[in-house]
Amino acid sequence: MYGMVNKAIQQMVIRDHGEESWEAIKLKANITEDLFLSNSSYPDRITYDLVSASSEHLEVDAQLILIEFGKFWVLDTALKGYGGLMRAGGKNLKEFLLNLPNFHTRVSMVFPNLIPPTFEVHNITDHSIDLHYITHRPGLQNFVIGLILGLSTMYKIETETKLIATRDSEEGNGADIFHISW
Amino acid sequence: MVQISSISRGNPVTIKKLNKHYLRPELFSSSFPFHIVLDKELRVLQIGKSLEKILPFILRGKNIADFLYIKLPSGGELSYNYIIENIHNSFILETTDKKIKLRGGFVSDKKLEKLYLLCTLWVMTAAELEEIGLNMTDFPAHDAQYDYLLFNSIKDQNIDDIKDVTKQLRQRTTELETLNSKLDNIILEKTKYLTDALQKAASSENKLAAILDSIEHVAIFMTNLNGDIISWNSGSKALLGHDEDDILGKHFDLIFDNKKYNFNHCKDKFNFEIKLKTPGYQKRVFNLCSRKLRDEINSGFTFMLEDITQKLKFESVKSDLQKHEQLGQLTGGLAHDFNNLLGIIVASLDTLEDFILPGDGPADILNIAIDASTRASEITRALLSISQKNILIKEDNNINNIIFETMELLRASIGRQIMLTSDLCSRQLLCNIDKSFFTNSLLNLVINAKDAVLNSEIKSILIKSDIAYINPENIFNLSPGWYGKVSVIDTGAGIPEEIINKVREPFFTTKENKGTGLGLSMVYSFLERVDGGVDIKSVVGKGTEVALYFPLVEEFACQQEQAELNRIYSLHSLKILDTPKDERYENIVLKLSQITGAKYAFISFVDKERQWFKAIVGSDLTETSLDDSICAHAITSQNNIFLAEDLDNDPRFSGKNCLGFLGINCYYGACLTDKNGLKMGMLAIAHNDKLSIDDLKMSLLQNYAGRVMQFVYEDLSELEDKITNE
Repeated sequence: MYGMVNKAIQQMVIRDHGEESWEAIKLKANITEDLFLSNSSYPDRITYDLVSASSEHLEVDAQLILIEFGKFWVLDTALKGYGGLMRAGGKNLKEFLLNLPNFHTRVSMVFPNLIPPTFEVHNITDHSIDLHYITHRPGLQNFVIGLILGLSTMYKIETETKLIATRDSEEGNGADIFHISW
Repeated sequence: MVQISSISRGNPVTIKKLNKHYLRPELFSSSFPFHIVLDKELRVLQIGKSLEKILPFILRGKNIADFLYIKLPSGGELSYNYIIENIHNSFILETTDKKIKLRGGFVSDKKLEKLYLLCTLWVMTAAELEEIGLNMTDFPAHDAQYDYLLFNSIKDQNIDDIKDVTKQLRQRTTELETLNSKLDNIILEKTKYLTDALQKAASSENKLAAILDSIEHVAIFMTNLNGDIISWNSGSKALLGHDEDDILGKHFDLIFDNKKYNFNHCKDKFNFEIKLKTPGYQKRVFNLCSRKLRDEINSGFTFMLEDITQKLKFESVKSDLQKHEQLGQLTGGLAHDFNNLLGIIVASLDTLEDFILPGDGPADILNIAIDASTRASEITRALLSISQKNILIKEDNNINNIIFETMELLRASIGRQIMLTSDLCSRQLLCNIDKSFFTNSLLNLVINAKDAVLNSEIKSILIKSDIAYINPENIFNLSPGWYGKVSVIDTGAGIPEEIINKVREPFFTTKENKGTGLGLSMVYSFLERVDGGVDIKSVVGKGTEVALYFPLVEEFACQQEQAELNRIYSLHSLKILDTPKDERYENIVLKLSQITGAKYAFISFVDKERQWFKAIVGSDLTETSLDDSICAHAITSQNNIFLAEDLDNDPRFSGKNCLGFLGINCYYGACLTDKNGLKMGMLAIAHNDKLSIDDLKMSLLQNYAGRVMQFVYEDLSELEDKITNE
């Protein structure tokens, strides 16, 4: 995972719970790094350990943390770091989701060591879309839900997201399928 | 329709193949959403979809130069010819309001005389893109503009990271500097503390070392676990005899007579007695105390050796003394009772004497009984005086009388095989002393003398009393003045010079397993308590004289001094000293020498510090010191004649060398007495061997002495007359 993800977790914890909590979480996660470089690659284990330690220290369910983190990622990290590009992703949520596969492809070209997830969009209607989330990293479905919530906030639109199939299911066939409606 | 072949510059074969496939205008427009088609006059013929979105004011048919100008190449003029000339160059065109820039290049269709501007939006940040109102979908997949913006965002993010890192580094540097400063202070503080502690430790160590080194009567040393000696104090050197430099690093077996002790088996602390040879090769008893050491720096043993020989001896002596004290008390009690009974016997005998006629046989028996009772009474009194306790009761006593009274007891103490005689001076020796202590001291000296003469050929002890003047520069540290001198002179083996200074030490004895070594020590102690002194002179093989000096009672001393001053005054009044040789005197000594056969004959006047010879036969001497003078001794005698027939063995002169340089061994003298009976000197004969001097010759000597004094007075009278006449 690129450092910007871990850095985003750090920023979210510090913003919501303060420096001391972050130091405690780091200690609990056995993390020795003082800071994360946004565009350097770090082992996935660090990200998982940070989420787990945060859950333990803050006594908040890890899935909720992932949702919160998804929202934070869009509204804080991405908009502040790549605001223009984010907004250039589409003039509304549907357009943004349609451009999402292309966006990740372009991101992969820029970050050669990044192994980003792949998004596909299916069953596109005026008020809904099926988003297929394909990744080798397990357990991040709630992070995607958080991302969609963040995008909904960004585009000021109310959405409903349902995980209609998981990667392990026959229907999912290797992809977590989210039905997003608005 | 635009033919793709017209804008391709591939090889002919490829073109030929491509010629078969034409790009429809709407497809061209979606593939190149940022394009403008111009005619030769640069009028706009066609504009791409995305470009039209952001430049809606560019109208078809209008000259492009009305809306755009060439920003790069710099100074370029937007004309058909210029474009053709720079057809291979890149262009940046900018709207005249400078809000939008386009980046791209021209291709020309010479046949159709048309120019195609294929470009993209030239923005540096995503914000500009947002401001212009384009999004990602407005850019074709082959357009890298969007990627460029992504790169720029990453670059900005990296810069932010660098700023964060720099900030954090600065913060850490500050923290480290603060910490470093604190550490410096702590190190400084700790260093000072350590330095102080080290100084204190060094000081304590030095003090401890100094203390250990100052303990000279106890050997204290340390070893490591192997038994190698690592420290050595001065007491160790004094008691065990090894220098520190020689012993350090050596095994302690060296000290323990090379006996292999293994103290590792011992407990951490142990204590026992051990016999060792001392530097003088004497066996001494030591108390050995050792302790195991286990600390961070050293581990091994400390040893402390204390010489307890004296202590053990003292304890033994103390026990003996307690027995003696008890015996003394018993003796005192018995003597007291016995004396009372003797008083009754003597009184009864005296009464009986009145009933018996003198000259009868029973009278003689009675006299014997009275004499025996009287002697028994004297012995009893002496015993009583000895048994008194150790409290000094000083009284004015004539020491001659005490000696006289004690003689019987002393004889009884040494047995009949040893001859004990006395030579008491004629003068009273009134001293402020304790009679009991004096008697005890005398008894001690006589017993010592007895032990000394036991193995000698001549077993003789002389007790001699005299009056002596001590000079200011005396060797006894006595106050200058007149002293009663009591000497105990024996003919024993003598005391070697190397131990003569040790005899006064308590417990020192030369008597193997016999003496306590306290006798002389007690004598010294007594003499010190009465402001007196002890002088010991000894010649190995000849004998020893122990002289006790008791200060005369001041008034009496003054009398003695006055008497001596009077004698000297009288001598000087005779005006005989240092007069020239006179035939009359010379004749007297010559005749005496001839009559008696003596090698030496002389007329000696005893002055204050010398004897002066008025006439002498056998030597050229004119005077000697009083120390070398037999005459100086002779004039103190009670009698007017003085005999010393064997000077070498005469205890009165033991330890002295009176005229020894002349080899004299035999001396006969008659006093030269003035009109007042004061002794001025001696007329004497002396010889190296024995002389046969009968009473007649002695009478002659006395007569000549009278003659000498007659000459002296005649000369004086003559001299006085002469002075009167002058």
